[in-house]
Amino acid sequence: MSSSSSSSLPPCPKKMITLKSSDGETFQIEETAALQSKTLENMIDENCASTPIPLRSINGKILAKVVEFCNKHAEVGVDAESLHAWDAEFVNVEYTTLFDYILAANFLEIPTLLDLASGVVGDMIKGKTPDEIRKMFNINDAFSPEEEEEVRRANQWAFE
Amino acid sequence: MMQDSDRISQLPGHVADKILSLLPIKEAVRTSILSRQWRYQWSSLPHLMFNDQCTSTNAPGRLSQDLVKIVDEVLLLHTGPIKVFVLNHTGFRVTRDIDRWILHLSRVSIKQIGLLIYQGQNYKIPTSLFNCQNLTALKLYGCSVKIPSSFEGFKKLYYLYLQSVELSSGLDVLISRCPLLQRLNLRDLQGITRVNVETACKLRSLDIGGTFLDVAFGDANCLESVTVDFGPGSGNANLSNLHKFFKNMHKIQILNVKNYSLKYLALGNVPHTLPHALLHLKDLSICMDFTSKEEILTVMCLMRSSPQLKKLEFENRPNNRQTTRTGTMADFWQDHHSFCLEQVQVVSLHNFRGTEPESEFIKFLLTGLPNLEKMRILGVTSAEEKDKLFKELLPFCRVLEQASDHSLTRRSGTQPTRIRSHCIESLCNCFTMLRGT
Repeated sequence: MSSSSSSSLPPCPKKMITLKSSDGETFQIEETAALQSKTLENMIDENCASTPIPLRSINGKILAKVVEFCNKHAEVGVDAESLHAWDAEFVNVEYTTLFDYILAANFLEIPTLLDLASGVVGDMIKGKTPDEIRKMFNINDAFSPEEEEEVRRANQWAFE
Repeated sequence: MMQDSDRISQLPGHVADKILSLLPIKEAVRTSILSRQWRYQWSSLPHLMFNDQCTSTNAPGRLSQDLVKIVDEVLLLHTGPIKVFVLNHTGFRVTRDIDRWILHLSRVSIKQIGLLIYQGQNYKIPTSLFNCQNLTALKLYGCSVKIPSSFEGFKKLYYLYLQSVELSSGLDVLISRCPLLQRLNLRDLQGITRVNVETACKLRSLDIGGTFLDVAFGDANCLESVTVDFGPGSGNANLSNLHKFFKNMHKIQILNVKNYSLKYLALGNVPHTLPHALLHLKDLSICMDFTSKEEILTVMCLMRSSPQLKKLEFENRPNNRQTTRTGTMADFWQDHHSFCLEQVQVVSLHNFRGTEPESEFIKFLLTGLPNLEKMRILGVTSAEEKDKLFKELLPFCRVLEQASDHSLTRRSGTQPTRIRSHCIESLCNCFTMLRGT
């Protein structure tokens, strides 16, 4: 419980919480920014956020970016247009990093980040042939020619 | 060399669904061939949208048949819940096959249905649609609706969109049986001239377009956003439409008066101000005929009654009258130069033709909006007109701070408004923009 507010604190201190990445790095984030994550919100609600919160599935490099994202989206007075541009720049990364963002956003339940990052993956797939998609994402558990023929037949219309 | 692992195939199922739902359904189904793991991934997609991208353009004659086959196959192979089903194919001809799909959807607790039929007769909505008790959103185009007597209502519906729909007399019944309705769009409803939304107590957003004689709102409505898009023949001259329309709009924040709607509102008596001010109205967008005194008076009445307005948008609706009645209009403006809206920061004017009534109106705005930060004027084509307009308007902007371009820091005008330097810059931008395009 953090209710033991000492008298030496300024009148309206910004409440901070600490996050700890899988590789032991710690990050401070304002509570208002952290509330974009439903997972963190629940922990704050249950008073479990007074000690550093260990996030074992997110490394320091990604967690730093996630904190940056939450801070940006908690800023007041950012107009939609410039936030949109900022977001576009934020996800302009290697696809492997995108997947890290997706998994972190999924774990922390940050819908804005999850939608943003999965949207980019969707755009990457759009209009590509199966071969191009396989190559792009390293999908290597392909069918044998006979099996592929069967799958094709089952959904013939989609391949016309 | 170690290859990167296949990360996309390891994503949680609902994330894969999310990504697939961003693709056209044809491409989503095509991912079945990627790998064993992807084979059935698409089949749990909760959103099914069938549009023009589903069919190949090679066989336009077979298009409707092909689409029927596609929808049948997808529904047969689909597993898990279907939340959204949309049929929105511009080439699809109405067929009774849709009945079968709706019956199926009514059994899988569908949440959102969109049926947009563009070819052939209106599609007669089957009674099974009215059994979809979990519907939260319904969008119909090119359909004919007859409400079955057993219909108990859509208890969860919050969004209803009807366009080019034949309803006979069922609209009021339908609206009254959707207690949670929040957003209502009504466009070009055949045979409907009066709309009554009195029973929709939760309605927040209304978009209504077509030829209507009357719209009735409830006493305690909580409408926040209203768009009216009436055709030229709307309204009844015996009514004071303006008064009636805004009598109970206590919570309105956004008002969009499109097409001939202002003419409708201007019919009958136009008061100086409305009896009840629109205290929450922030965003006002109006399509108007700048040569119609009645319409200008109506706009003034609306502005005077809305002390919190922040954003104003006007569109010029050119009329067929050749004479612009300049002389009488000049007198008119002299009589109406006393108004002040402190909150307005942004004004846009679209389809500006450069006529005198328009410029008079802009001058009227410039003198009455002390905190204006930006005015955009769109539509002027020739460079000469732009120069002329800019020179004409400039005296109405007094510069309090030093503007970057000295040639523009001029003081004059009898009732100058306190426009800040960045406003002048905006006007410069506007000018350069006008000049550039």
